[in-house]
Amino acid sequence: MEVRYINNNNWQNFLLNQIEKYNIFSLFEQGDADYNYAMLSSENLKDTVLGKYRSIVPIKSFFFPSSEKILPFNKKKPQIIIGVKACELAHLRLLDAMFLGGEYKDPVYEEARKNTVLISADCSSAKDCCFCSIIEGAPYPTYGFDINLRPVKNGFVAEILTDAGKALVENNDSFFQSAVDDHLAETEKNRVNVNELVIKINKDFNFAKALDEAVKPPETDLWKEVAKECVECGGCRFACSTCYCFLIGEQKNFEKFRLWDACQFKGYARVAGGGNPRPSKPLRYRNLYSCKINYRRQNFGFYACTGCGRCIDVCPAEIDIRKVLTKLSETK
Amino acid sequence: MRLFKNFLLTPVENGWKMKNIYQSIKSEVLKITDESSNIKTITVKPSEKFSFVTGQFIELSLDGIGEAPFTPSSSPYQTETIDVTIMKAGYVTEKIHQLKKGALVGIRGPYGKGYPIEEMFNKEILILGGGVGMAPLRSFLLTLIKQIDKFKKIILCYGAKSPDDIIYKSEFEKWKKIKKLNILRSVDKCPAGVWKEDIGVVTCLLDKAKFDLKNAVSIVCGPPIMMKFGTRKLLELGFLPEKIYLSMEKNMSCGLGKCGHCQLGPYFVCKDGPVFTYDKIKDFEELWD
Repeated sequence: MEVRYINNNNWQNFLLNQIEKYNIFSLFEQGDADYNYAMLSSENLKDTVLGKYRSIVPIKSFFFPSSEKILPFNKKKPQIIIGVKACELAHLRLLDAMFLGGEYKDPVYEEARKNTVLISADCSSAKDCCFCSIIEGAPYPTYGFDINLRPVKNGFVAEILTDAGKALVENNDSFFQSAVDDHLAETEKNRVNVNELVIKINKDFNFAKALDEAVKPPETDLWKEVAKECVECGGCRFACSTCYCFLIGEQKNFEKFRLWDACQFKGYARVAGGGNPRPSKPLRYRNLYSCKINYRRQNFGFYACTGCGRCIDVCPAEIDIRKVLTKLSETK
Repeated sequence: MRLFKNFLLTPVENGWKMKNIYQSIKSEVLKITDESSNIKTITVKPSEKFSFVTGQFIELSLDGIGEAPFTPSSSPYQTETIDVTIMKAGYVTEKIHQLKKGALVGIRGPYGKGYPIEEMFNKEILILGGGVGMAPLRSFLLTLIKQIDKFKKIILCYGAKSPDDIIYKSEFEKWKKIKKLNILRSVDKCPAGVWKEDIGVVTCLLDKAKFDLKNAVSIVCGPPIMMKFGTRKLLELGFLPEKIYLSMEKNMSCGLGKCGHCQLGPYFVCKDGPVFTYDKIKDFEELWD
């Protein structure tokens, strides 16, 4: 993998050069402690940041928006997404497996995915809800990006992984310099520090047992306990980028659209005539956790939870997946 | 290397054009047959070539109204038209029941895995059907009849609520004449003297059916409660779980293994089923609901 260095000033110029050719989505501060994506323009360019950690909006929105036409569907202008974090690349790994794997490829997702260049970044801090390091992840990207940026003093080390990333750098070669060993040493130190921070944040949670076994979560009163708090808003499912479920709607002329759907809604699995495999909240909860830590791992070899913590952030009932998994580990 | 890079080649780049997987084939309704008070068979003619393996299902759509999964009830050897037998059970099926001859519907598919017919060669086939569950079984039975020499024996046990609720009434008369096919029927209830065959739930018929357990497979399709007790009875009779083929009904919406609605454990009924052997799915608590 090729590694280069780019200073802050050149980075701005590099971005400015791409605005014509691409729709660029980059992070901006939102409130005191959050980030969100916005379309980059020459006006807001100076305010964009790489983000210390992941944004509020789930990465799936770029490839699988909350509602979209799927038959027919529109081609997209090529886009660059900047500031994607490791947990989100893990989300995309799952979405790729769902939408592009198997006998059929979802053409709408595929179109968006192939028109996108992903420029990811190391996390330089963590939120209280972050837990990637304790669910087979890490706060820095190791796969799935085109270019990854590791922040260093006055600039970034750029790791170039794919042909798409390479082409982008080669077309703007004058902005990039050679990376030196000092740069890399600096980023390694940051990686270790943030990883330790994530572990420290999660020191009270221990669910290695529930994960290791990755077996069918047992019938336990735990699901009733959790479900009692849940108000069935579906927020956790919509904020989750490994939640791929969608509802298809019919329009005139046999056209179709789709909307995000969520397994936590009562009518989700109901069939005509009224049969419902999961009519109660505890059953739906158990299924949700089975999907995340068991079923998808059986299908693809990895968990459908990447530790981004968005479900914890959005839950009005303060249900915390780490607490649930910890309790689950204890019930066995 | 970008993840799953090979997936990102588009068909257009490969020099051929593929249809959107969500696109239906427009099909004309040629015939509507009333089977019972709430079940109709519609015969449609797809505007493009369409074939399926018995047991696979299709998504049938009504323009601007909705889409729902059905297993064709016609023989896969009948290639010009497809029969779909539909019970009025919800919004879309109610609208389907209002269709008139000449109407246009959409069909896409076929989806999932059908019955593994070749694995059943030289065996005794015990078919257990209830109510509208006879629809996929009709397709299955017609497939067997077409090559009946390849099977040792076929036993069809079919149950309906009442004599009026029995579907394919005229076809049963034809089927009864087939030598290697033994038909047993029951109705749940019936006024005295009207019905000369068995009265009771369909599982009672299994006690009367004569088959060689060592060389038999069973095929079950019907309402969930009937499938549950039917499977239980077959197990009691000594059938191994891997010899019981179940045609599962879940909320198959996309049919492609993408949308999630028909999830059953790690499986998606639409792509891993709808036909499962019982051993694969017996541990899922939500199996019969």
